[in-house]
Amino acid sequence: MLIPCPCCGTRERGEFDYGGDADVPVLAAPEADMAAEYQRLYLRANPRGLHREYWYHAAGCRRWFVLARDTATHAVAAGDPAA
Amino acid sequence: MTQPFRAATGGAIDRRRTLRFRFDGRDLEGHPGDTLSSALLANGIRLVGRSFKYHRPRGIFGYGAEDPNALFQLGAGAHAEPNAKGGQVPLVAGLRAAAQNCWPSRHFDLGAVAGLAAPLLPAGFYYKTFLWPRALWPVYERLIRGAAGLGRAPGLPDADRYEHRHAHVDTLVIGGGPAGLAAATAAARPGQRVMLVDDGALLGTAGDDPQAAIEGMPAAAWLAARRAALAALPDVMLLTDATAYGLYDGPVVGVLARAEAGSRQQRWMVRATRIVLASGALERPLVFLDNDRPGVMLATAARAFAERHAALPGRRAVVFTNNDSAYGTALLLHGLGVAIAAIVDLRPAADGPAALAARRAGLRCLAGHAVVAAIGGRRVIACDVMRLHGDGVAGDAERIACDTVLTAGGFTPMLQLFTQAGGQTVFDAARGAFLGVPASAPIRLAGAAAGATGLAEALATGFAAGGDPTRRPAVSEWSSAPMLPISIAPLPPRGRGKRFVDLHNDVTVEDLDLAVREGFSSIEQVKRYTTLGMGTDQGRSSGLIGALRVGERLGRTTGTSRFRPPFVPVTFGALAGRQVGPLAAPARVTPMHPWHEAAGARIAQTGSWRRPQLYPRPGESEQDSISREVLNARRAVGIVDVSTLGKFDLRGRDVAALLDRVYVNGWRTLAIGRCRYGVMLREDGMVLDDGTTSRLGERHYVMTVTSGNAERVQAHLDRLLQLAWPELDVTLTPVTEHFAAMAIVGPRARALLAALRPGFDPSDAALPHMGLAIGTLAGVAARVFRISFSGELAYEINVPARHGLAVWQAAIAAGTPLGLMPYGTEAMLTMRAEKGFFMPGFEADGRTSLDDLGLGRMMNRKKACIGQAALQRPAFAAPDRKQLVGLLAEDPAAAIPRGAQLVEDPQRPPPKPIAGHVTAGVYSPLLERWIALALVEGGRARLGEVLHAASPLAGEQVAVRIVDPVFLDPEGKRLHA
Repeated sequence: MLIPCPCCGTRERGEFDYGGDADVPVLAAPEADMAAEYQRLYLRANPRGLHREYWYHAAGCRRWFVLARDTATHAVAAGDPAA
Repeated sequence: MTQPFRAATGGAIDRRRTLRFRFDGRDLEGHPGDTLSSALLANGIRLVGRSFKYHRPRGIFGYGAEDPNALFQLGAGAHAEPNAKGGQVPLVAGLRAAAQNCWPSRHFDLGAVAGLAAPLLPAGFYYKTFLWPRALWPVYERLIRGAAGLGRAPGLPDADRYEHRHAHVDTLVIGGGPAGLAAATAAARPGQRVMLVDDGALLGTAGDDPQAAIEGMPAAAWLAARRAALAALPDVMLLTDATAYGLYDGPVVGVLARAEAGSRQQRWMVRATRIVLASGALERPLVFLDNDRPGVMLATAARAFAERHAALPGRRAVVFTNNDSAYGTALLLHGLGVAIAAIVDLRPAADGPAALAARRAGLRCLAGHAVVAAIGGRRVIACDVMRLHGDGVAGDAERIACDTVLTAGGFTPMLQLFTQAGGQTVFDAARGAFLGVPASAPIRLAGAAAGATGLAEALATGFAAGGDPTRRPAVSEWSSAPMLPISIAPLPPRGRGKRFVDLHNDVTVEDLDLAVREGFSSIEQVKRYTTLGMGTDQGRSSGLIGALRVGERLGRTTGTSRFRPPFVPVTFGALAGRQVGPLAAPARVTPMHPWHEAAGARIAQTGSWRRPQLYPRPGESEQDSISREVLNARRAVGIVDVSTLGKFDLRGRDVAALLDRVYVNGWRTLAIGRCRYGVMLREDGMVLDDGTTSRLGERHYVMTVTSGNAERVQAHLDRLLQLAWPELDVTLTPVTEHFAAMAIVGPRARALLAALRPGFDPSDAALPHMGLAIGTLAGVAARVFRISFSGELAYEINVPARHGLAVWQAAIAAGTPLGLMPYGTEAMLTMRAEKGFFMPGFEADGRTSLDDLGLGRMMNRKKACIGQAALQRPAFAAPDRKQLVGLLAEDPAAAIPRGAQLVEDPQRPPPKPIAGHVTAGVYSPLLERWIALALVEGGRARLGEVLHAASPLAGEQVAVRIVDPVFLDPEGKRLHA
């Protein structure tokens, strides 16, 4: 599987670490109650089809970015620098 | 000439050169261009092995990977290879091959008594017979293991070399027949990279009709011209003797090649924008009584052996078919001098152009007939033919003398890679086979794999799949009449014998029927119960016939069992490639590594690093060395290489804010020139890592993390800095390799530091515990941190990596009069256990909270940190959480086994409730007894209780008392010395 890093271009998947659903907040909400935090941490969707997710170019530029991947076909759109 | 079954002319072999080889101790000859199977056929070898279950004599049945019978043991010693398929072994001089699954020989095999006991060995025999009595299972297991398997695995390390190759192409074409050549030709436009792989040695052979012509040229010449044109193009790669064995995510196609000199096999990983599967179709056999006798062979296999290798299957053949394709084969063999005793056709009438050509040539054609039984033992001597009547047979059987029966049961498209890619298939009743549903997978199908019959269709689908749907070369060839999708001949009256569907696993028609009667209702169940379609041939020739039979008995269609990669067996050597032995993974070593090796240190792999475990002296046991190193550090001074610690340089306005947010404790008050210990949590509240961070300047800090956690913590911090807090002004630079680090440890550590000509004041007042100094040491720029992982007075010295070895040597020289000794990771782990310091991976195992480690008070609740929100979960407050405690063996001399489970009542029969487990068990030379750290349910409230550390695998069990985890100097007097 090849992944387009927004900094380095397309590289082999082994250079990257997976970072989970990009539509889940990175941080706990301030004053989050336990139920909300439990939901954020553990209850993740596992869709068949398009999935926006974080990837980390661990063996490269160290950039975290968002990749849109089809979980059924592994077709990927160009990686976006995460903001 | 010692090859009696070699045709005088034809075939892509080099008759001028002779290759000698050995089969079962017999010296034989073949030619370059032969495979092991073709050379054996040319030498008249009919019996090549014994079957898996009944040990029945078997002959060469197929041409290549589909052959269920011709499996050989090749080579010897480290080069031994079991289960090699004879059709895929290119003949080389000196090749040594042996038949498998027979003892003492393939002609006289004692295992064949299994064949006499056949009525006792029905489908699911293992499951039924070995079920009870249960106490006898160990005996059964030995028997089953003795009988299981085919070849013998080599007993020595693999001495061969394997390579990995990578290719990125625009178009990958799998299969080099007419459709594959057409696809590659269409795809090979300027600037387009094309790769064509084929599992044989020859590209572009096929076609039933010997007179076929393409664009006015003989078909073979036209195909040869396409092949030559492709070979001349710079961006086209033709890879022969290479099997595409699997399609993986990406998509990446794995290809196993055998053609390259210098290595035994090459594993290609091919990434392609477009994949064309032109893998062709495999002929199905026809099933009749004793259809496994040597001499029964697929018609296409006989044709390929004759055409490509001039190897003839026998002298006198009966051809048994349900379609037109076999007539061309009969004519070809007839032309090469093989007598065709009869062509037996299941169809009521055979009057297509091929059949007419056969009749014109004077061949005897019996339409509406079936071969119902093969006659013979170790080889076919005749077959019985009967006239079909309704669903059965009528009249008397005619016994036709022959030494070969060729079967032609129609063609099964090879869709394995297509279905691996998620492609759907649908049953086509006219062809009696499953066809791929176009566009249901990102793979284009071409040729016979797409269901094409005949050259014209093959070429048209090939050009279309390669990107040129307009090109349809004019082809003149036989048109073919419809086939009759029947695979299993009717049973003759009073017929005796076995009708094999799966020759590889000895699965008969009756086995499948029995499985259905016993209630198995899906093909996947029947497969596992009867072993239909398992083994090295993966049911290439048998799977569909078996599935159709099961469907017929169930009264509905079942589909075939799912194809999974790999398509052919792939050796572990090819998967590993060159990444074996020292090249298995990159070894990281510190700048001081040459010194450790010269000092005779025992080196161990710890994570990605190679580190000294201990520095044994002559005559010492391992424990002697560890104890000496520990006592010397505790009583005099020791030195340890800690360069492997992860180090991050942090600069910017907001470093303290970052530290506040990632560590549980507070950092706003850390002064320049001071160090602080911190613990960081994962998002889920569990402990991630610990270490010290030191403030070097107003906006400059350096963080250290556990050696094995450096990559994880870096990813964690990068994620937070980039995704969560981009507004923080912090630049993080990993500097682990930039600095060599060593700790000098023990009561005389300050004396040693003073002896190293420090460019700073080393006194306790100027450099107190958790202080740091920046200056020169032993003549080079150094950072000296007064931090300790041993509980002793200790200094951690960081110098630029290039000076590491020199400073280490200077320390050894200056320290020797002070009694300095180096120590390794074992002594380090002993000292940390004596002090009750936790370590990520041991005590902090991903399920441990700060409070579990007894560090709950470190949490600064005036600020928020990562992981804090999750701590609201009730599970973190449960009273039975496992907590860090110490253990003392009740018998001071008894060793506490590492990894032992802790139980309250060792006498209780299993399953015993587990109270906890030992995370570290060490001998403390200072305390002169075994101690351990452990995680125990509610442990801190159970001090003084006795548990039993049990290690059933080692057969050890020791009574232990729960104590405080700090065994030594709880007040920290040594630290502040």
